[in-house]
Amino acid sequence: MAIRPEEVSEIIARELAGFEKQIEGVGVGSVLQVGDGIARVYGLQDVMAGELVEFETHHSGNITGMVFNLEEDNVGCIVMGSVTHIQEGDTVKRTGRIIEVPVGPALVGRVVDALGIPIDGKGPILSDEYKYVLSKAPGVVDRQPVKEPLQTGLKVIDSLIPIGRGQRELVIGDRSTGKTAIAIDTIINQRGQGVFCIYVAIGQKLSTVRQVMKTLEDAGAMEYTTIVAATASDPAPLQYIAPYSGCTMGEYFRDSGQHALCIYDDLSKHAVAYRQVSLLLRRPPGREAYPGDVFYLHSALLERAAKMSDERGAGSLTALPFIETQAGDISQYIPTNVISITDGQIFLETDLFNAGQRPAVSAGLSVSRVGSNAQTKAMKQVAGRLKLDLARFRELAAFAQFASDLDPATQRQLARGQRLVEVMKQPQYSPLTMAEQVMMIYMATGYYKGSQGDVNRPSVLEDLPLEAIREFEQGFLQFTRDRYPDIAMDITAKKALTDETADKLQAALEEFRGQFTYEAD
Amino acid sequence: MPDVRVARRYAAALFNVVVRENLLDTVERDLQNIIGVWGEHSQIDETMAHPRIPTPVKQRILRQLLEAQVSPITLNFLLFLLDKQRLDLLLAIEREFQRLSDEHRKLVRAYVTTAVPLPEDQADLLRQHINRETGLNVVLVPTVDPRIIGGVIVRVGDRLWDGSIRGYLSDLRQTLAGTRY
Repeated sequence: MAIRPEEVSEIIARELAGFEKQIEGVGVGSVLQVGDGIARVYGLQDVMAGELVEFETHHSGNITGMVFNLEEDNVGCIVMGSVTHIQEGDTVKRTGRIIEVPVGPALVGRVVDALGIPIDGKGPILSDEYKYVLSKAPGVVDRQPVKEPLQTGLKVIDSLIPIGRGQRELVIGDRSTGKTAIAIDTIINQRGQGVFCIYVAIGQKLSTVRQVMKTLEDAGAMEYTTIVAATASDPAPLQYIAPYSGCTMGEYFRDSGQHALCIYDDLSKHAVAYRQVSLLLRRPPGREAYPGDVFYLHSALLERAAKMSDERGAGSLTALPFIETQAGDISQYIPTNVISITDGQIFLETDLFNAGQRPAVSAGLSVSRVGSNAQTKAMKQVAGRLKLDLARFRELAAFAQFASDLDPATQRQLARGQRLVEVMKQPQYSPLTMAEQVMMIYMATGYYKGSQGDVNRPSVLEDLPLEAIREFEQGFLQFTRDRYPDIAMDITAKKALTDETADKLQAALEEFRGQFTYEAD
Repeated sequence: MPDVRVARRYAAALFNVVVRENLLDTVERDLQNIIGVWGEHSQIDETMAHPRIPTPVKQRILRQLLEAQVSPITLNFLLFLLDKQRLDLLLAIEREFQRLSDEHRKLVRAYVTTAVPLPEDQADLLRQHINRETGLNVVLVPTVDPRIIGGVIVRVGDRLWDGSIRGYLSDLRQTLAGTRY
């Protein structure tokens, strides 16, 4: 792109000619006290709750703040920037605006802070459209039930706890149980699905954010992803605003008939940031010192995820909020709040994670309340028995720990369960398509719901040792990709498993089983 | 942070007494003088706030300092504040007192900032303008601040009119950069 200097001066001259300043009286106040991300301001009569104000500092320009508390003799503000440059007595100006962020396609592929200011060094964001950050959720008539699936690419989630577009599904677990890994895999799997992803990092390490960004870039997933970062070093007010900003950016796609996925990583740190500003502004503390409106804090955010009605363009915004638990305790205040707001939860367990079961999804405690409406028919056909089998296996496994010799029927059940669990494992950054998942699950169970009712065939994995299953699975995946691509194509096209295709799949499985050899240790 | 609510009550109490006694001008001038002296000599403030100096000593110091200078009612008020350990609020009380007395006299204070001292004819013009807007008598409080480059900034109460070159430039920068924060 060639830029001619004279053109530039001409454009600027034109801008200047049109720039005319009307001197208008603005409401002002002065800073009484400042520190810890908040400021108390004297004056500012007629200021509105939630209004943006500008702190005029002597050395570092204007800093934005937001009115939080209106009190008898002062106004409590949260400061969206560094408070170190604000001094007692500095002038504070009203702006008459409320907080808003840029939205639109210009944000895709960018890393921004909680106010939508780019922090990735790729130049300014050229978006003319701004939207209110703290807007309301769409009403009842603007919505419709969730009906399309949002594929995470993870077998265990898409089969057992399916997520629909427009759903709110909580991902909950202790630290380092693979929560962020699920987020990244899900984003990577949205490639070519027409879903814009927004990853909101709240109170995370800068290095983690950088790592996520790099992983997504390497996977080519930044092309449809926006990262909103309010890291641990950012002031608490920015951490408090960040998820709403991310949500606003997602709403642009939802309201324009497109699909978006918002990942909030994580909301427990968000609640902590909100608790900090609330306590500093002397709002009364409640349970665990959280303010009384901490439930509303999260419900207002998550209610904005929705599947819009056809009249509204049928767009969707899916929310995946994350919560970090302490020692697996899901009965704490914030986890119970968010569990009750969302349409289900994916519970990750440390024990499973350490036992090598990754993703460490606990099939028993995880649930999806609306996602099964959105599950594809093919997946429903094969996953019907999976949940039951896994539940039976867990029961037996607990019992079998005490028994030395078991009858053959129980042993068979146990072996079957172990193989199912083995197939549910999946390495990171290798999401599978819906068709591939269906094939894998059929491989493990030998079951599908055909046109003539349930079909139960013995699984080809039955006589395989546990250690060989991973290898068999990988081999078979490659085998069908090379030799029988039509099976996957047929499932993808029809979104169902026909009797004919199932027979083909069974034949392919038997053929591969015949040629598969493994080295016994 | 000074407790504005407490200051407001002390100021109101003093104001009511003073108005009844018809001593508004005297006390107002006294308070302004004291604040001025206080600002110039930081050791007064330090002494008054010092925890190791007993209150009777502080009372004696206050008396000796001010007895000849201010009216008895002002001195009594200061001694009362000292007794209640509220001397640190003096600045806030003076401000509130000022506000009350301005209200009483139907006065409005306009804080005017210019880059160079404001010529008298322009000050008059400004006074007339504000008078027309507010319907109150105007007292101009001028400040000279070269950092605003040119033009004038007027603040009346909680409202501010920024007609300075600096404000103009910063608005221009925002318009050209297209940023909102």
